[in-house]
Amino acid sequence: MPTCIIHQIYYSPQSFTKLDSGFTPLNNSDGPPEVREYWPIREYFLNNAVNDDDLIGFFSPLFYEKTGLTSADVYEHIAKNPGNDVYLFNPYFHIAAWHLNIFTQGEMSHPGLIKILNETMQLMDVKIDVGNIVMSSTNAVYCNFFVAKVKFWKQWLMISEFIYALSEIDDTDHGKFLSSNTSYIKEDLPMRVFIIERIASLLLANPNSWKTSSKLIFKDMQHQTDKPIPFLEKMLALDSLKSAFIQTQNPLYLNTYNFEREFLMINYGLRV
Amino acid sequence: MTHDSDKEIFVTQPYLPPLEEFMPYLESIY
Repeated sequence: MPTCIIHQIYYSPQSFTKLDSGFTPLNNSDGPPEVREYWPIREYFLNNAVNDDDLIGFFSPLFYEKTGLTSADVYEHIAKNPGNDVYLFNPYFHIAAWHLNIFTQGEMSHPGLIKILNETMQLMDVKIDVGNIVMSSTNAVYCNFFVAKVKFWKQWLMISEFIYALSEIDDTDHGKFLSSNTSYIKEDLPMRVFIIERIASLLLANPNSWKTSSKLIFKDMQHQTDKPIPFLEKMLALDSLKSAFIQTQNPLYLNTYNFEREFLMINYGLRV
Repeated sequence: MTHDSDKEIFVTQPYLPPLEEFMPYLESIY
């Protein structure tokens, strides 16, 4: 098994108390809070020697709260699924299942996200419409809850650093929009935070480029499955249809996903 | 299974019981 180092970031004595002792603490007390976890990840790779095959992860102090997983669970999943480039621990299975991808979901909470990301990718000579990518549990991850080989992190860092630099130094409307605030649960945060959170999924959306293993997580689904429909089963079905499309590119799977989603909206009043 | 199709069900929000069911607990706290 390759070297596997999973960090857990803390930024205060209070957040330190939430850490899992099986992860490696990473102090971000002096990091700029408006950059969130991008800062300690960036600092780590700029200041530490790593090998391409090392597996590295960076979890927030809320990892257990959001996933219900301990460090032992994470290491066990990796050990039982050797040979992958990226291991996903997405805490929001149902959200990734319901939406076509995490960009269309992000657009609803952070308007302008798709346009600014498309334009940013075009600056890197990558012509892509992220709003049309199909994603499922095989390639979608929130909160940067993934463990990946360094060769994956290098690509992640290259794109993320470009976005970060644009937001810091670009005086055009493009750069200003990346650094402008958008709403979040408790406070406003710069748009770049929510874009960088989605870069891992963007890389994984390139078919056959990375070997992945997803740990399916249904924490707190009790409140979701109490909905007056077989909620989890429906989300699993939507996710399965998208995964089948990703694997086969057969449009019938995607058509059926769209039909089932529409059916749930019309007949059960399911909304975002 | 029956469902009142006039009611909306939100994917991203947890389903919680009516507030009245919580009230006894809240009253015991405050």
